[in-house]
This record gives sequence, structure tokens and C-alpha cells, in this order.
Amino acid sequence: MMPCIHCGACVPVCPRGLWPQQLFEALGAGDLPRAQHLGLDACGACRQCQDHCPSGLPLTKRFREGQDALLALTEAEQVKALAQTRFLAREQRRAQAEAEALEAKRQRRAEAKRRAEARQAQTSGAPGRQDAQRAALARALAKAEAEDRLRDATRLRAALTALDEPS
Amino acid sequence: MGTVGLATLPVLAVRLAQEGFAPALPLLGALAGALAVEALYYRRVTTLRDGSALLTGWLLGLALPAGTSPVWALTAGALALGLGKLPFGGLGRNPFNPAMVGYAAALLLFPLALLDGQTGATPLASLAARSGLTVSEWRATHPGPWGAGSGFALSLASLAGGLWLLYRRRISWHAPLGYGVGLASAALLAYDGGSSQSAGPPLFHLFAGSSLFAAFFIITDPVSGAHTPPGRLAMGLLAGALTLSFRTTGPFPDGVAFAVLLANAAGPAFDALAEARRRQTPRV
Ligand code: SF4
Ligand code: SF4
Repeated sequence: MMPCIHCGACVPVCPRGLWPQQLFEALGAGDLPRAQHLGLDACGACRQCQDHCPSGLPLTKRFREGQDALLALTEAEQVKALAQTRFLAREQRRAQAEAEALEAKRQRRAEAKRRAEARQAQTSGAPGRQDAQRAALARALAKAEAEDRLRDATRLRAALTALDEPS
Repeated sequence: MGTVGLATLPVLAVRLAQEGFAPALPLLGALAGALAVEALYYRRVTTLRDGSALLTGWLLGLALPAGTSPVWALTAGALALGLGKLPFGGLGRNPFNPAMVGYAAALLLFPLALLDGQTGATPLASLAARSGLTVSEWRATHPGPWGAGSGFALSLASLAGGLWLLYRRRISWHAPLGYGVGLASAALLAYDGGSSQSAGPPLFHLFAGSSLFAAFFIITDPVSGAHTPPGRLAMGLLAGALTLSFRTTGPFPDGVAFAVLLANAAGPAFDALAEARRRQTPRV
């Protein structure tokens, strides 16, 4: 077998209008993208070029091998793409679950805060009670003053001031 | 390779008819040089069987002027293979036309041996050295169609052999057409109607010197230069245009060898362009 002498005999005989010698060179160099650009997919493996090659090069054989390599590459790429979709979907689910958990926590916290506020509001419903206390003390004080019970009056007054001073 | 050799027989016949047996000596010298170097390099004679070294020596020998001494011719043949083909990996791998490498190397290394070997001034040389004559004045002293003189018959012989090769589909039409168009259009651009500075009309350039020999037997070398059909066309165009520029401004009367070598160098670039511009999937 002789090397390709680029005689070009293979070019006009290709029914698909390919350039078999360039295709052969590209595949020989393992350059699949270049071979694809030169129309490797279109080769019908008709052997016209091989039959006309004075160097007896295995053109068609190499083209078929090239197409197989291309196919294998496509399959590998498909598997890769599938794995990628799955991974992305899982990531999305995880992210969504995380976001939901966060939201629930936020809601729980808001709920707790709301309840605490309500409870506090109830405790500070005390103004009514304090007023009553104050009124009662005031009444008792007035009575003690009227009856001249000085010690009681002093004690009551102290209690009243204690009630007014914010603790 | 045999077919190409056969196609050059008219050229040899015309040269023998015009110059007697003088051209045979350099032819044999170049052949011997080419074959010897190839055989010595591979240390066996079987590699000679593909005929490529034979063809290189043959084409180089045909291109050498008749008076070249056989020793110089042998040196040129050896240089053709030793510089132009073997260092690049041998058959199918040489980027430059080996015969033209040999010719150009000879022209640069021993120019006088080649230029003195010419029997009488060639039309190209005499046109270049016409010292102020207009083209028509110069033509008056030069017989033959378009002033191409004895070169005209040689050109016709090349044309005949080349057309036969085309008919036999041994060469594609791209490079010869490109060469002819490139040379003729460059000559047309450079031709100012025939003043004393003019370079000579396009038809003169097509039929003078070794234009047609180069167009059909040299630039068509399948291995060197461009390989794709559009690339070959472009390479031919460039070689043709460069031939004219070497003839008009170069130091030697003819410049086919240098033009072909430079165009060869551009060949891979033309191929890359052709591949890049190709539609994704050719006709299905
Ligand atoms: S085998 Fe492929 S490249 Fe060769 S001639 Fe047939 S289609 Fe063209
Ligand atoms: S026919 Fe064979 S040797 Fe000629 S160019 Fe095509 S592949 Fe190369």
C-alpha cells in the first residue's frame, strides 16, 4: 500500500460530491470535527473512491470506521446529556425542598412571635385591674384620712405611689 | 506517472527537432541524479518502481536548457530529490514541486551554467533586454506567432500533451486553468499597449518560455501545494500571476520555478480556506 499521492482521482468519482482525500487525511489525523465538516455523515460507503485510488488506500473502510466513531461519540454524548438532566432535576428538587423548609421555619417563627405578642397584650390588659386597685386604695386612703388613722393613711399612700411608679 | 511521462513526449520531440541531440544530455544527467539520490537514500532500488523519482528527473531534465553540462544537470537532479522530496518524508509528502526545487536551486547555485546553456537568447530574455524598443519594434526582429519564436512549437507540444492528460483524466483542469487565467490577466494588467516599458502582450506570455509546460506538467503535480479542487484553482492563479511578476521584475528572464514554489507554499492555506468555506454537508 502506498501513501496518498493526492492524485485527486477519488474526488470526481464520489457520487456524494465529497473530497475523499481530505476526509481520509482528517480521519487519519483523528480529527472528527473536521471530518464531520467535510461531510463524513454523507458518505454512502459506495466504494467508488476506493476503487479508483491508484495507491489502493482503504478509503471506504476508514470512512465507515469514522462514522462508527461518530456514532459512538453521539451515544456517549447522549448518555452524558441524560445524566446531566437527571442531576439538574435532583438539584432543583433539593433546592425546592430547602426553600420550603426555610419558608416553614419562617412561618413558625412569625406564628410564635404573633402569639407572644398576643399574650403580652393580655398581660397589659392589666390597666383595668390596676385602676381598680388604685381606686380601692384611694377609697381606703380617703376613709383612713377621714377617720384620722394616720398610720393606715401613710401605709396606703406608700402603696399608691408604689403602684404608680413603673416597676 | 507513466501517462504523464508519455504526455511529455511531444515536448521532447519538438526539442529534439529544434536542437538536435543537445537536450538529451542534461535530460539524462537529471534523470541519473534523481534516481541515484532516491536509491541511495533508501538503500534499495524498489522505491524507484513507483516512478515518481523518474518523473521528477524527467520533468527537470526537460526544463533544463540544452547546453547545460550533464554534471550540472546531475547535480540539479540530485538537489531536486535531496532538497525537494526526501527531507519531507518521500512520496506523497513533499509540499514543494521537487523538479522546481531542483531547477530553482540550480538557477541560484550555478546561474551561469544554466543561462549560458541556452542556445541563443530566448524571446523572454531578449524582450527583457530589448533596451528601449517598443514591443512592435522588437516584434519586427522576432518571427513566430506573438514573437514567441521557437518556444511556440514547444508550447503547442505542451498543450497537446496536457489536453491529452485532461482527456485521460490524469490531471484535473483546476490548476492549469488557474495558471493560464492568472498569467494572462496579470499580463493584461501589465500591458500598456506595447511601449518600450511594456511587458509584452498576454498571448506572448502564454506561449513564450515554459508557461504551458508549467501549466500542464508542473503546477499539476498532485502532491505538492493545494489538494482540493478550489485550492488548486487558486494555487494556479497565484502561480500564473507570480510568473509574470518574476518575468517583469525578477533577476532571471523566466520565473516559472520560483512562481510555482511560492504558490506551492500557499497551497495548504488555500486548502484550509476551501474546506472552511465548504457547505456543511455536500450534495447528498
Ligand atoms: S465511499 Fe463515500 S467518499 Fe467514497 S465515493 Fe462513496 S460516498 Fe464518496
Ligand atoms: S485516489 Fe487515493 S491516492 Fe489519489 S487522492 Fe484519492 S486517496 Fe489519494
